[in-house]
Amino acid sequence: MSYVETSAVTINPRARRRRLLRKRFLRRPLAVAGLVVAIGFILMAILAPLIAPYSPSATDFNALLAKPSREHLLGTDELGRDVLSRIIWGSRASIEAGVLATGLAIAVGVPIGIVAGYFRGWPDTVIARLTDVLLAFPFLIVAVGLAAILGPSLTNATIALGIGATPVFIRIARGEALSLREEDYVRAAVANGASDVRIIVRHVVPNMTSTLIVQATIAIPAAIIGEAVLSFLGLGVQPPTPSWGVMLADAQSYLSQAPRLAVYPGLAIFFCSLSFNLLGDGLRDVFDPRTTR
Amino acid sequence: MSLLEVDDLSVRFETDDGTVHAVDRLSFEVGAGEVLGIVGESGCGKSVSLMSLLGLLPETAVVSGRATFDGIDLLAARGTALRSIRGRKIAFVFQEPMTSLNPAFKVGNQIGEVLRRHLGLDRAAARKRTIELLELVRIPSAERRLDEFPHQLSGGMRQRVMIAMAVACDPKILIADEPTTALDVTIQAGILDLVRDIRERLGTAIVLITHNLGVVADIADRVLVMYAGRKVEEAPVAELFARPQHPYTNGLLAAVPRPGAGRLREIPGRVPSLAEIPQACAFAPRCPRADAITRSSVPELRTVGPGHMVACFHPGTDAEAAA
Amino acid sequence: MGGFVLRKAGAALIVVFCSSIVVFIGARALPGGPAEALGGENRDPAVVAAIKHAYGLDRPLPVQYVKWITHAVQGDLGLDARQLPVAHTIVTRIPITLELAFLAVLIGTVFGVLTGVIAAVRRGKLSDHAATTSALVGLSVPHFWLGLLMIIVFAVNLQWLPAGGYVPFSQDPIGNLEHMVMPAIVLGTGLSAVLMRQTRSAMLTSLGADYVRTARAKGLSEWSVVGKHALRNSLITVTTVVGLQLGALISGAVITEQIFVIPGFGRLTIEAINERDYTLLQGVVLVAATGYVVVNLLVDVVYSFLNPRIRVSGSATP
Repeated sequence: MSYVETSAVTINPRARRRRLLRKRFLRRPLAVAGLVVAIGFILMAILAPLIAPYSPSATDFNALLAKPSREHLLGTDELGRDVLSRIIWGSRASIEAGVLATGLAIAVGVPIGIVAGYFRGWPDTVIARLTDVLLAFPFLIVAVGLAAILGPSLTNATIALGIGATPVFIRIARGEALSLREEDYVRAAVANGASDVRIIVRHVVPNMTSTLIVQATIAIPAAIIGEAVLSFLGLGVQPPTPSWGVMLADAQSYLSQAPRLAVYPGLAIFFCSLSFNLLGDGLRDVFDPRTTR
Repeated sequence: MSLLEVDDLSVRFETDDGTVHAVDRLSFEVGAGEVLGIVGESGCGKSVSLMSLLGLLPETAVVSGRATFDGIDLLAARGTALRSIRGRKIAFVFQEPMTSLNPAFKVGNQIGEVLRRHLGLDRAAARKRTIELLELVRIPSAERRLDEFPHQLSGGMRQRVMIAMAVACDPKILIADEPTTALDVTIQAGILDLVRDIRERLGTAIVLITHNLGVVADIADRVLVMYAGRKVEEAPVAELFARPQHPYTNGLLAAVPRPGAGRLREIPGRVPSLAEIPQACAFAPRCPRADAITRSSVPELRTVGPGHMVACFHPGTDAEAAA
Repeated sequence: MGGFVLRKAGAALIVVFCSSIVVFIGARALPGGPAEALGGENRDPAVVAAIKHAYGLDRPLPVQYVKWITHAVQGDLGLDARQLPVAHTIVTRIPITLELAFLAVLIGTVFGVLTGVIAAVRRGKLSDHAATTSALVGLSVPHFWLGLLMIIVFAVNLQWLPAGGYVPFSQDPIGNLEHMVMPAIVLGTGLSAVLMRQTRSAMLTSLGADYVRTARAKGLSEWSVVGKHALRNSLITVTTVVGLQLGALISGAVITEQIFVIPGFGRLTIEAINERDYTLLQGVVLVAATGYVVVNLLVDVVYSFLNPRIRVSGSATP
C-alpha cells in the first residue's frame, strides 16, 4: 500500500456560494446598474462638500430663477441658489434618512422578531398581533404625529421613519426564525446541548441575511421617499438645510415660471429610489433558488 | 375500424439545459370501444405522448408526426377546432385529483361548465345532468356534493368527479393518465371498477396509462409497452402475459410480487437520460441479452404473432432466452 | 364564514379602542398644551389655570378620557379652536376624501390587475417587459412629484385640467371629475404598480397549475381558462395586497390633497397639527383610525368570501 500525497485542496462551501451568487448577480445588467447608481448616490452624499460647485445656501440676488447656464448647470432657484449644488447636498438628507431609518428598523425589529419566532409562547402571540395591527397603519400619520410632538427636524423624521419601518422587519424576522428553528441543523445543535443564544447567533441569523438584505433594499427607497414627503410637508429637514423634499415644496409656488425647479429634485428622488428597487429586485432573483440564471 | 391513428409521433422539449427527447416515433391505434393499456416506467413518455394529442403540453414542446381522429389531424389542429374536440370527443383524466380540480369553484360548477360549453345546456338542465353524472360515478348524496368545494371531498371522490367531468359529453375516447396512482390501494379497485363500468355502459374507448401491470391485466384488451420514449412491444393482453417477447416486458412481469415466487427480480440500472436519441437499443445498458448488435443499431418493430409486435433483436420469453 | 368575520370584527373593535387611547394621550403630548392653545396669546398662569378648570383639563387623565370617549361614541367630538363642532367639520370633509380614495382605488385596481394579467399571459414578450418596467417606475416615482409634473403638463402648459381645488359633484359633475382626475391618478399609481406585480406573480402560479391544464383539457375557451379559472385564484392574493396598501393610500391622500388643494379629510389633519388644535386633531385621528379599521374589516370579508376554505368552515386549516 502506498501513501499518496494529497494536495491541499480545501472546498470552502461558503466561499463557493458567494462566488455563485456574485456570478448570478453579474448576469443581471439591470441589477448591476441599480447597484452602481445607488453607490453613486451614496458617494454623492458623502462627497457633497467636494463635488458641489457652490454652497447650497449661497444666494445670488442677481440671478434669481436663472435658466441653466455654464455657471449654473441646472439654473438657480428663487433665492439665486445653485440648483445643482442643492441637489448634491440634498442627497445627504435622503441617504441619511434612508439608510439610518432602515438601520434603526432592523436593529429594533429583527431582535424582537427573532424572540417572537424562536421562543414562541405568549410573547410571540402578543408581538404577532401587535405587529399585524401596526404593520399597515399609515406610517405618515405616525410620522406626522411624532414630528408634531418632538418638533420637526431631520433626526426626528428619521426616527419616525424608522419606527414606521420596524413592523415589517419584525414580521420578516419572526417568519424566518419560525421556519429556521425547524431545520435539521438547528435540531442537531439543540441535541448537542448548544444554548439558545449560540443557536440564534450561529444558525438562525446567518440564514436570514439574504431575506433581510432584500427587504432592506425595499425599505431604503421607501424611507427616502418618506423623508421627501415629510420635508415637503415641513415636518422634516428645516431650511436652510437642503433636501429634495423641501426643494419640491418650494418649487410649488413657481410652477408656471420655472417648472424645472420641480423636475430636478423629483428626478433625483426617482432615480435614487429606482436604483435601490432595481437592486432589490435583482438580489431577490439571485437569492431565490428557483430562478435558473 | 380505428377511431384514432397515431403515426410517427415524436415530442421533444427545448429547455434551457438542452433538448429532451421525450417520445421517439411512436405509432399506435385505438379502436372503437376497446381498452388500450400503455405501460412503462415513470418518464418513459406515456403521459407526454397522450397529452400532445390534445395540445396540452407547455410551449417548450415541439411535436411532429400525425394523429388522425375523425378525419382531422389532431397535431395540426388549433383554436376552435381543437377546443371542440377537447372534453367533447376526447376527454382526459389526470393523475393528481388533488390539484387537478380548481379549489375556488364548486364541484357542480366545474362539471356543469363542460355541459354548458359543449352541449349548450342551460343552468337547470346542466344541474340535472350533473347529478346524473355524479350518480353514474357512484358518488353518494350527489345533490349535496354538487355545492361542495374540492377540498371537502376525499381523494377517491375527487377522482370520480374528474371521471364524471370527462364522460359528461359522452366522448368517443377517454384517456386516463395513471388514474389510481395517487390513491390508496383500497380506493384503486373502486376506480378501476368504475372505468370498466363506463366502458361497458357507454361504449367509450379507453386509453389507460399506468405503470402497474396488475391494473392492465384487470381491464385492458391490448397493451403497449414503452421504454425511453419508444414503443418496445404491443400485444393483446392475454398474449402479452403468456408470451412476453421483449426483455423489458419480461423484466416487468418478473418484478411483480407473487406469493411463493421467491425473491423479487428487479431490472438493474436506471432509465436513460433523454438528452439524445441513442443510435442503439435504448434498453441495451440494462438488458441481459445485450450484445454488439443491440449496442450499435436501433431495433425496428417486427410482428411475431397475431397482433403482437416487438422491437428487439433477440425477442423471446426469458425461459426461451435462457435455453 | 360568519365565525371568521365575527372574530375579525372583535379584533377590529379592540384596535379602535386602543387607537383612541393612543390618540388621546398623543394629543396631550403635543407641545404647548391645550390650555395654552386655547388661551391664545395670554400666558398668565392664573388665566391658564382658569381655562384648565373650565374645560375640565385639571381632572385626572382617565376621567378626561372617559368623558371624551362617551361623548365621541354619541357623535359629539367637541368644539375646535374656532368653536365649530368638530364632528360637523369632519363629516363635511370626509365624503370628499372618500370620493378621491374610491376613484384612486378604482383606477389603481383596474389598471393594475389588467396589466398584471396581460403580463402573465404574455410572459417574456414585449408587453410583459413593458408592463413590468412601468410597474417598477410606478413604484419608484414619488407620487407627489408625479402630481406636480401632471399639474405642470396638464394645467399650466396644456390648460386641459384645473391645477387644484374642488367642486362638489352635486353642483357640477363634470367639473368635479375634472378636479378629481389628476389627484386620483396620482394616488392610484402606487397601488396599481404593486397590484400589477402581485397579480402577475399570482397569475403565473395559477397558469402553471394542474387545474388550468384540466380546464384546457375540457375544451374551454382561453378567456374562460385565464379569466375565470386562473384569475379567480389570483384574486385572493390581490385582495390581501389591496388590504395591505390601504395604509399607504391614506398617507398618499394627505399629500395629494395638499398638492391639489382639495379640502378633504387629509388636509384637515395637516391643518389640525399645524394649528395645534388638539380637539380637532383628536377627533380627526380617531375617525381616521376607526375608518381604517372598518375598511380593513371589509377587505377581510371579501377575502373570506373568495377563499373557499374559509367560506365553508371559517378557518383556513381543517
